[in-house]
Amino acid sequence: MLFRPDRIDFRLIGFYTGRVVWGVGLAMLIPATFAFAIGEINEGLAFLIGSSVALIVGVLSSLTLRTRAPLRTTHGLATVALAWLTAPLPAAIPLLLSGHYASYLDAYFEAMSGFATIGLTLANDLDHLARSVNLWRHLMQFMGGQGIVVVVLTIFASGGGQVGTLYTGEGREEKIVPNVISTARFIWKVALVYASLGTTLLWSALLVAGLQPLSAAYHAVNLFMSAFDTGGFSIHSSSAAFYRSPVVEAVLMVLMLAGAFSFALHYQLWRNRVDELGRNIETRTLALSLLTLFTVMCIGLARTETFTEFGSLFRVGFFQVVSAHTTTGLSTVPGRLFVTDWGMLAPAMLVAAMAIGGMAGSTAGGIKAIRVGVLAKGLRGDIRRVLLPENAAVVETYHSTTRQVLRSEQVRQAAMLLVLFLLLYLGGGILGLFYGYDMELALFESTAAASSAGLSVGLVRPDLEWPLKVVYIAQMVIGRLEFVSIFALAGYVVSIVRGRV
Amino acid sequence: MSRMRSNPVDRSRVALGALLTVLIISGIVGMAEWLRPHAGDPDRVVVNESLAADPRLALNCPEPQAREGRRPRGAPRLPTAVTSGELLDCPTTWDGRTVRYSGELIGAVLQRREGAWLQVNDDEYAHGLGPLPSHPNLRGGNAGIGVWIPRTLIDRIQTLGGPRQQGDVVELTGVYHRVDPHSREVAIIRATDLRVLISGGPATAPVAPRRVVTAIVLGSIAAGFLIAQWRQRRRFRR
Repeated sequence: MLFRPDRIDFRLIGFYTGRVVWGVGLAMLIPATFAFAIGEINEGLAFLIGSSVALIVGVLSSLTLRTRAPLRTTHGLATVALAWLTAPLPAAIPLLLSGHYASYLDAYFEAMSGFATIGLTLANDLDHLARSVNLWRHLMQFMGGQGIVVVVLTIFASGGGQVGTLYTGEGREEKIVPNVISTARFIWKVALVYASLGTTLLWSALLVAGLQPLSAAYHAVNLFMSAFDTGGFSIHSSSAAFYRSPVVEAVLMVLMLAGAFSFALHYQLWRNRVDELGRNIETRTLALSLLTLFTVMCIGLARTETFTEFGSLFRVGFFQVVSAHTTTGLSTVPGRLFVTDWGMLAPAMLVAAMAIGGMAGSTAGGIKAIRVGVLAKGLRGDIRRVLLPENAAVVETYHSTTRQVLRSEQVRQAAMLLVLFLLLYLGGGILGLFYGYDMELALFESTAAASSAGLSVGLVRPDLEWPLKVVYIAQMVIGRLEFVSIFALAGYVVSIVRGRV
Repeated sequence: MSRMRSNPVDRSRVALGALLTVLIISGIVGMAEWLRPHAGDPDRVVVNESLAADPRLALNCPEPQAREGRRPRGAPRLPTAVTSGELLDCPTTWDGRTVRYSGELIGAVLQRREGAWLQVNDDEYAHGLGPLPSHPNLRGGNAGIGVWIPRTLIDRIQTLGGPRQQGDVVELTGVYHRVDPHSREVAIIRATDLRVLISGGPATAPVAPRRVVTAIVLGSIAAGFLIAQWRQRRRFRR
């Protein structure tokens, strides 16, 4: 039973939330420095203001709320939820001050879309946005993809053993190595290795595509953060289509898939266990799902005669389904064409791909391949129990780093989360109906927000109704944190009001 | 061993804390609104004028939309000047037709062996308003089309649009392709002619004197707090 919080509960949650805000404030000094270096003085000042606000709040909470009390699981979960709701507050300041956002709500939406690696945007005139502000949009996705709580508390320090509870609150269940700090630092190591290789490859591909060297470097850095952290923001409104390059698209697909792989899988690959790729339940589920959805999409696009030859169908369709399945949201097709030129079947496959998402413990969102795989195995086990003699012992196993026995508790948890995600997708879709949008559009956009995919059919735009903006923000953070942290925070709120939960 | 709960915080204190939090957030939002470009400008307009971008509006295409099993018919004779909205709303209508299209050159000229790729926007910012934040009118997102031009036309381009920069406004003639048979790109125009209507140039940045003062004041306060925190940690370690 959760009783009404006492002072120590508030101090703990406030202290660690303040540390995260403090970290966001430090991170804003990066685009501030870049802005001053390239002569974007107004934007540089905006970042200094945002950074100062975040640092003041963070330091004040540290000075006034410091405590030696241990962080329990409920504290950790509530802290993560509160940190994710609070971090976009100062992060939105430079966005609003850029002059490209209609209101603070729009800027907050953009900041949340960045941290939660969604990729939906409310920017007006994105193609003329200042370079430093665009860098900040992508940097937020990089931080969010790694997990902003984990980012701050491992790099900036002294979380110690307390970080463990916060780690799981950000939707990461698996510790790759026994120590959570070491796990978080391994995640950073992988990200930095991919950053060096990925940015270099992208830079080369962009040079071939026709960009000038400095411009190619800028685009490469931002594109990497968008692709590897499966975020989906782009420098230009035309997204990945701007580059008109199959080579760039190929590199982006590799990075998107790498981002959608769990860090536990990366650890196995790091230790040269390449056979894990073929044996892991998640890679198998992901591969089967990709293949199935892509095949059905091809059938749909062939029926609409949108594409009349396989080369173009494969290039465009495969990129889109990979972008959707990894919940990145980069696109080589104007979103409007999903409605006017892709029929019904192909966009429906994109919705399914976004809904399923990537692997657990990756930068991707969605229901996650492990849960789909576990449910499929559970279903198979149930069918076998029906078909086999009554006294037969049916044991289902799956491989995830090691061979494990499938327990009914795991199937139950996977089913519960599947239902919660489906309700989340449907809830946003129904609200879209209320505002007059067609069901397929409303469901597409709702799934994109809640699964952190970010592909858009044009429903999310600057003049979107404000209640929908608020609902999409809620869907973003709930989907990103996978419900539990939000439930913990809600539990604290209820316990304050009722005296207990 | 779990900690004994003997002293829950009084609801009135929680309410006070919540009120204080709301006040702080309101203060942050209010400060940001006060500092934004063109704050208090009576001419500031926030509306999406490009109605074609509203997905709820019914399409009025001479040709039906692509649907499974439905083949497009031949369309009647059509005017040639189009917008990106018309091309994307009715792609089967315009597929393979010669069109006239005008807009602002954006981003970069991506030169290839036989020509170059351009992004040409025809939104409100391209046709008259100019780029944000040089004016206070927020007219929604960008709208545009990818264009392929032959090498002979590249030299006509002078200025590309970007941050604080208005690109050349051009008019081009070419064939629109739902899927280009040569490059396999989606929804592009293969241009055969291009002329610059309005040369691009730098866009003015709004003056922001309040920001300098605010940044200095807040930065000083933040620096002061950071020093205080560092000193506290030093004392703690001793």
